Amino acid sequence: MAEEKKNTLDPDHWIERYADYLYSYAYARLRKEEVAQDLVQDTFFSALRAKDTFLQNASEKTWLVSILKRKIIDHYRKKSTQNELNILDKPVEGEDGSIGYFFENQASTPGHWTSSASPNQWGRTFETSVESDEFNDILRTCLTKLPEKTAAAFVMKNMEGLETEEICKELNITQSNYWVMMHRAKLALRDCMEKNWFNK
Amino acid sequence: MGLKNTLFMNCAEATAVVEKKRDGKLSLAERFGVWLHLVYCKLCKAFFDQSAILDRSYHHLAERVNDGQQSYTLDPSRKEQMKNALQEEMQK
Repeated sequence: MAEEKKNTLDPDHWIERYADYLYSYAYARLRKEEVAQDLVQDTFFSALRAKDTFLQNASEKTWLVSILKRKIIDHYRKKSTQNELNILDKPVEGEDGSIGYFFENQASTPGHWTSSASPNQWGRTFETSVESDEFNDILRTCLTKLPEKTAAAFVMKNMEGLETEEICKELNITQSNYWVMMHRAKLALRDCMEKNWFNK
Repeated sequence: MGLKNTLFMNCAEATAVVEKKRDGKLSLAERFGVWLHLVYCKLCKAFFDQSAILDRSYHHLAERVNDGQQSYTLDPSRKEQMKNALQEEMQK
């Protein structure tokens, strides 16, 4: 049996070794640069305070990421209790506007796609897109255009891989609220990605 | 929504359950309603397909960041500031 490798913590080198990595992790999942920076700094501080709880069979990096991950979810949760009364968050801003931007509401064709927002066949495929840095940058940019809570639900589902039940508990919403938020998220992201990448 | 409206959905209603469908939580009537709508509505069919592509794309972005393939650089002055703050904390 191989000898178990013991890992130790080395806070003197944390910044040079992990700051950019942790920042990338946070930045991809959050809307604001400053928030990502603050959470990375908080992570290092919390890690320092909790260094006795570090298990030596874990890697330093994995341990720091797990602390950051919790901080990101706490950040979302705080944000979501701040606008508790506003269950569906603010409508998506700009041309991606409220639901009326996507669907007709006149009596003749209620609930039909509007001409400006109806889906088109995409000119590029997933396979020809995924390895492009530009594509991945646009994914992040489109995410930043969502309302905070909507973005939080979307990230928790698709980037953190949390179950719907967990997300609803963290954000203190019902599953119906969640499905409505995800509908809005997808309408906005689909529109944004179509215009800025797939059919650009 | 009444049963008749569940069986005969418009585009707003059909797309509204995209994530409920993904979670496997549609009622039998909703399942039929969505299926029927997607048979004749090319726009909503595209929406559902593209929605799945978005899910995969964001999942993939997260993996790229985890693997270090996609990285963003922290502002050097902010990094320096962080380093000093951490040093100070360690001396406490």
